[in-house]
Amino acid sequence: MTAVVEAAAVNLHLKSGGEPLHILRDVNLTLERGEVAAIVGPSGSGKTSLLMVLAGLERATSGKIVVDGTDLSGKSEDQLAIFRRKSMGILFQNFHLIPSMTALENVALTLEIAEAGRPWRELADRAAAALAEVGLSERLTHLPSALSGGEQQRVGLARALVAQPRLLLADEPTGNLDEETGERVIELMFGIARNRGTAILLITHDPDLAGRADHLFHMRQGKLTTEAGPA
Amino acid sequence: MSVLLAWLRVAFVDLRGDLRRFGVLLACLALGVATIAIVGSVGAALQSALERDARQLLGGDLEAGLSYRFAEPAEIELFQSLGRMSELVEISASAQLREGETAFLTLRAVDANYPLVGTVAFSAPQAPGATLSDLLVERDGAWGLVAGSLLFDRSGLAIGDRLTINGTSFELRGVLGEVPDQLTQAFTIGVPAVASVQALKATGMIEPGVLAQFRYKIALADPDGFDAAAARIRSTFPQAGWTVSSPQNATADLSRFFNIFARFLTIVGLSALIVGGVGVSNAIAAYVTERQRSIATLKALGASSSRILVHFLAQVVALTLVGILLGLLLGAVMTVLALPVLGDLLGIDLPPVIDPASLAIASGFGLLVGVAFAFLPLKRAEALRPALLFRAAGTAVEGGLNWRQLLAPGFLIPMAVTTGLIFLLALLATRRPVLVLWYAVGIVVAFIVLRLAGLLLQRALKLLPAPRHAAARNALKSIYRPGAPAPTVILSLGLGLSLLLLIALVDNNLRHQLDREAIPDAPSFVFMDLFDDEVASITAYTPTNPDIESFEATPVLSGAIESINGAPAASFNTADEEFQALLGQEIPLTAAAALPDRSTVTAGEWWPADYAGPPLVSVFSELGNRLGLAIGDEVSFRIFGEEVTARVANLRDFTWRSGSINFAFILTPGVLDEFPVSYLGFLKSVPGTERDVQQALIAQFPGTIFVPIAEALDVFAGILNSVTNAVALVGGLAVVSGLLVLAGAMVAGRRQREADAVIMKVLGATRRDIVVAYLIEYGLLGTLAAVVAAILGVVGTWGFVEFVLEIGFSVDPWVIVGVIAAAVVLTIAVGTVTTWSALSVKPASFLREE
Repeated sequence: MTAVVEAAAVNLHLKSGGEPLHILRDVNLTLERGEVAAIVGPSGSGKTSLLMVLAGLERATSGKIVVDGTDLSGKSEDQLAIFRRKSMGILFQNFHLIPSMTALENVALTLEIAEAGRPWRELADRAAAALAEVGLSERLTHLPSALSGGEQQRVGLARALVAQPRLLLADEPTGNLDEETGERVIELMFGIARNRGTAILLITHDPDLAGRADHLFHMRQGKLTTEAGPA
Repeated sequence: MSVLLAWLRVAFVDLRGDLRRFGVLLACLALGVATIAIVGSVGAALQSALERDARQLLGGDLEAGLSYRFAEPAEIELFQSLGRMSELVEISASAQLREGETAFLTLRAVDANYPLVGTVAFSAPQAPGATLSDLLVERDGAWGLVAGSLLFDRSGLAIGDRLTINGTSFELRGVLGEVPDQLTQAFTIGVPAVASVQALKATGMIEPGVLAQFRYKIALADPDGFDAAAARIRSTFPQAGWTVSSPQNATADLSRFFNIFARFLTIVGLSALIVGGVGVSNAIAAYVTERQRSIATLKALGASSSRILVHFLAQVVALTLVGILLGLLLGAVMTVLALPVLGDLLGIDLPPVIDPASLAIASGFGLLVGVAFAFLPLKRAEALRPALLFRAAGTAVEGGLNWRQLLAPGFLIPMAVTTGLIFLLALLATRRPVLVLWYAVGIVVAFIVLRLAGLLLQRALKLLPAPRHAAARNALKSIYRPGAPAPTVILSLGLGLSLLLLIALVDNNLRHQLDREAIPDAPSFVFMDLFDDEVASITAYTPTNPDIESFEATPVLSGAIESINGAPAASFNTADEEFQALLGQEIPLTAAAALPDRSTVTAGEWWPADYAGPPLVSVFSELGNRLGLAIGDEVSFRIFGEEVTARVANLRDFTWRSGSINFAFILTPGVLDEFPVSYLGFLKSVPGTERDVQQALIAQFPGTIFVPIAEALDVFAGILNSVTNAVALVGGLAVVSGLLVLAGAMVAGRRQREADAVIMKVLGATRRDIVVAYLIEYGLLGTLAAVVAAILGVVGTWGFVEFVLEIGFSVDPWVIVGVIAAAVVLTIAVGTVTTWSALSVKPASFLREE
């Protein structure tokens, strides 16, 4: 089976106030289609940075990253953007919905970017279906300001999955939600992803959530390890 | 009171921090205030110079004038008994330079005492140290002439060369500079030249009927005795028709011109401030959006709505005062720099002094506009519901006020008071209530139209089927989405563009008036001071020259309105300053048997061609209406010292610039027969033959005085250039204000645009995708704003040109196309620049900050 994610010896150096910081140290990671991997670790350990690097939002200083068959090294920003629209969905802790767009428009935005030539009606129907999948068919025309945190995150989830990505990256998807709402979001996320064979890489502080993943990774001071040893 | 002070203290402490975010607000206010301060200060300086230099501008403490003869010995004796006297005669003259070449002169013949006040500037390199009188004496068979440099430049003559005027020889002995009392005389078409009174008498030009002005300037022995001296002149020679002027009378026309000009510029300056007010509104709205969480926190902690309003209103007032201070400094500096330059241009001394009243008015405007335009966003802040803010993460979308809130006394009364005060201040600054009223109506209409245009665009786009292409679709949605900057962009850009178009089109219309093509039957040459035999000769000559299309002459002489229905003209009051001036001075009069071309009788009837009854008069309808004249009223004129009374037979309407001859007052044939009249002649040549015809006329009629009309139009155009340049400069400041406002509107939405761009990038949009969407969005906004601005600009120009300037209206479509194209390009450019900076934000750093 072709891995969805293959990261080898990935390093990331950033500058903070003029001082160089070694954020990621020789990270190795492989994720197959349909698998769920969780990364846990203390704040500032590099978890989010790893997600950024895998998403092409941050450039690795060294190492090789292949996601869904695309080698991210040497790609321009636009090439990385095109890569993301074809292969990836991202779910944020702070939702990051566009405040002046309705729930439907926020979800359809992914499709508009990925399939620019399609008629709006078709894209809207697919976005509506995605929102129905997360239980928000009654809230299509509502702005984010009219939605609760859990509802906003479900919109975020629909947006992340509507284009049927091969990989879903979720950064603390339940961090701003209460336990019950968070559980509901996770159930949806796992269910939709498993049905479609989407690989999931999620960052979480929740040990229960981490325990439900197929693979558990620990990130500490930029080094990624499994429970059994270095990844 | 202590509670209020505590609130204010918290408000000012809260204002600490990076004040650069208020840069656009401060710049908009400062620019508007500076513009009004400059206009007011310059206007005040001009008026003050006229008052200060009135005596010099008149050339004495008193001037007695006649239009038809020299003063008689008894009159001279009286003048000399009142103080030191100087005699001056102004007349148009044709100078023969070389074979077939003439020059049109405005000749001033002066005596040895001239000037009584001030000095005549001239250069006489061949006679260093010589006085003006020295240069003008007869020597070696020629009288002395000191002429303006234009004569030397155009004709190639030099000092020492000779010319003749009416057959009398003159030698050029100096180059004329400034004359102390020239500014108060009507602007001249001919080259200015100075000769002696004896020389003028030697030419024999002074014949009965020749249009000349005989002025006797007196430096009174008792400088405060003008009234007594004037009364003595009038009572001693009641029949002569002496016009007696004080220094204040002499500068009245100029004062009126400066006043009109200053008023117009004040309106333009106020427009700059109002456009800037939009920038203030946008900046405060953005500030309130940014502070929503703080407002919610304050309310959650128990602050009342009124405390929120006071909190931010205090901050607005503080910022407005800073903006005003900056504006006053800028205005003061620019005034100090501009006044000496302007003084040189006008030939009057304008010391760099700031006018406190102008600064006070500018400050008042600044404060009122700042508060008025900030009030709506402040009321939004007051009305914010904290619950809404705590529900949403990230930047919330701010809602507007509903109709009930807009009509509530808490909003309506303060807005009514501030806008009412702005109106009153404009009245104080311009003293023209009708102008200010129509201006206020125009501004309100412009605001409403532009706001409606934005709303209609949003509605229309919402109803349109979504375009197939995603970039276009997103661009259009960005225009009508909640919180979209579209209404602000359209209002900001539209206002600035409307003003720019108004100024450009008015300038265009003014210049078009001077374009000969605009006057269908414009003559090619105008003859002055023709006598009967000369009229007959030219009339006979006309058919023999195939290059001449037509020639017509009309009798003309000067007379003053003595009384209307028995009431002395001096006691007559009209509401209009310009017509009031008409009653106090000599005006050209004529007689005609037939109704002039392009005239229509609006009341009464025109007399038969063979009418021989008692004197009747036809009056220009607008003048007649303003004087309250009715058919059958009596108007008395003083002509050559004699009183002539005519009954009003009709009121007549005509277009001043139709190219045909017309006068405000036309008498029946025969009334002027007993007076020595001269004729104005209008000769039209075949287009393109003007030069040949000019040569032929010089050869055939060497003694006549005529001016090619193109020269006259050049003089008008030169004056107009200065006027329109000044208007364009002030208007340019208004346009800069508009650009600042536009930039501010773009910058205000930048944060949200950055956030949107990051999300789009995360979701896989390329920079090209994002930029194309913005280009479409801003291109559409710029085009709509420009089209609406074009409509407003054209309508505004029509109103101003028709009712204020009273000239024909025309539109140059290329001006409009040019402005629209520039607006679209500008909007796209500004939008792209702010978008580009948004695209430069790295998604990772943005997402981490969140």
